[in-house]
Amino acid sequence: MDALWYLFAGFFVTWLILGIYLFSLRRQIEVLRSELAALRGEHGTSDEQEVSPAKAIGDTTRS
Amino acid sequence: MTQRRFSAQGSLNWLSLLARASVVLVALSVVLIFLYAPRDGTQGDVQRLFYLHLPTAWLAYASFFIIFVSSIAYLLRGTTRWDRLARSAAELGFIFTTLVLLTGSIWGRPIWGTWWTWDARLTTTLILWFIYLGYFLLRAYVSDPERGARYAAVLGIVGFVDIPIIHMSVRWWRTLHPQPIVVRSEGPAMPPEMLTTLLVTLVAFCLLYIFLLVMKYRIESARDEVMALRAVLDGGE
Repeated sequence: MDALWYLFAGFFVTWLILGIYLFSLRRQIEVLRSELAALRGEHGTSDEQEVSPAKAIGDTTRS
Repeated sequence: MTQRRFSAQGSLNWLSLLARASVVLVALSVVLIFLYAPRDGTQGDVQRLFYLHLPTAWLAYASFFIIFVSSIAYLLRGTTRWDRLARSAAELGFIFTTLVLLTGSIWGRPIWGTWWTWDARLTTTLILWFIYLGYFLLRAYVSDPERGARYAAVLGIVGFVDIPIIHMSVRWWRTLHPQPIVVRSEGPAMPPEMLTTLLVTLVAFCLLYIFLLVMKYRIESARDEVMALRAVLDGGE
């Protein structure tokens, strides 16, 4: 009986952590989606266009 | 492009297929773990934690391998996409290393009589967890993102040394942790039913991992785009 408690605790903890992580990813997507829409509206770019992150945040390919 | 990734359902078909496949395989693996895999004669039912513990451990190591390769690529080529991949893998690696430590601790309590012991395998895995933590702290505390990415890449390469040490720890030192029973020159030391269950669980976790990694990578891409747009807007003012 005691062993079963540990077994279920292990499964519960694993799926709880993975569930919370999945939920947090979904939340991040929602926040970023609305942030992107607002910034694009301000910038005047359409949904299909993308501002190159590399260009604007100063990242350069050193090749 | 990021907007298309986030909004157009058509382009996400393969990703939703991946998500569905991982859900089905995870459900199948739970059935196999509890109904198909035989009860261990020595440890009893608690041994079934092995089917969670081992895949999470392998994926924690795989994450660091991805960080290692993408860090080298980032330092050589300097492209953001490699850094983005390293960032994404680091977060997943941290989650999976946490799961390894937790499931190991919960499994160890009834078998060893303690939640934690300073055994070589456990200690080197805890060091891995701290390396992951250091990776995030480094990024958070270096104000210049490009410099932070370079420092993190160096840590990602140097920190990878811990992976072979973890793997060999049970051979190099006397440990409470058992010797490898799957990856051995003589072949896996377990009944076929246990091996089948383990393989199905491993595939299920791998699919789940790939799904999470793709999601996280896309989030990081969108975050970079937000930063880029902000930089453009701030520059225009």
